[in-house]
Amino acid sequence: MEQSRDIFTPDQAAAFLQVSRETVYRYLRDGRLFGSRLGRVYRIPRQSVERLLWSTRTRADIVLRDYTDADLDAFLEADRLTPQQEAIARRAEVRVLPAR
Amino acid sequence: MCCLLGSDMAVDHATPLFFDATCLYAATHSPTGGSARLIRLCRLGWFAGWASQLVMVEAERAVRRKGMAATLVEYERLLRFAPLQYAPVPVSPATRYPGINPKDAHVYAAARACNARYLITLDKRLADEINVLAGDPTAISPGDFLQQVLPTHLDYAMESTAGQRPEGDDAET
Repeated sequence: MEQSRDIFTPDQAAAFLQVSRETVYRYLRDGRLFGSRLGRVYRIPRQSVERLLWSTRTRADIVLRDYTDADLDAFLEADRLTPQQEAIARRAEVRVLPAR
Repeated sequence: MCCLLGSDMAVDHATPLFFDATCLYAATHSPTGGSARLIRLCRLGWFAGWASQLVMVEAERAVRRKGMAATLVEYERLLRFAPLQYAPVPVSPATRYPGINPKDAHVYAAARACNARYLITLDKRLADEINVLAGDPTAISPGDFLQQVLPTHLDYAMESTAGQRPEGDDAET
């Protein structure tokens, strides 16, 4: 059942990860897992659970990048659009292309 | 940022774009920036957007590094509603692509695995590395893509032609 869900309860996330419910709550508390609190219950996006698995991967053949604050500031600066780019984007955004 | 390789080929709704972690990070922080706008165009059906689980992990790390809880919520929302497909995680990418920096190899390998025509990145060093050493897919920033590539989109071109049609055209038919 867990294979098709986009949103997990803590129990479902625990079953998916094959860890205890307490472990899932600990991950939620320390921020390793992202969840939403709806009243008294938590809901956890499947993608957050999957990213936790990837971020704790054991594959030594893959090295991930870490960025400095300066890098991240530079990315945001580079993401700004010029007036010409803005105009082109706006022109396209008014159209939804049909699904093909 | 880029040399626009393969620019002789028009793009269409099926053209695969691979989004780097830098773009996912920027789209989370700035809804008016080029990254968010390009992801929005994917949602509107203009292109086929791709990413990988690994770039998503990198982007999440960046969001956590700079952001507050609210930004993490934005990131989750972006991933939930962005129409991204996920490229398979490559095996030993650094070995397969020795010319690429080992830390960048998984990005390049994933982009190739989904047959991306363009690797969308805000990392100039990565773009230069890929365009000089490899060149396929073409690495390009979101802003440059909007300016240089989007106008070659078949639907964009049709829209432009329709917009420029003289008023008398209808009378002739």
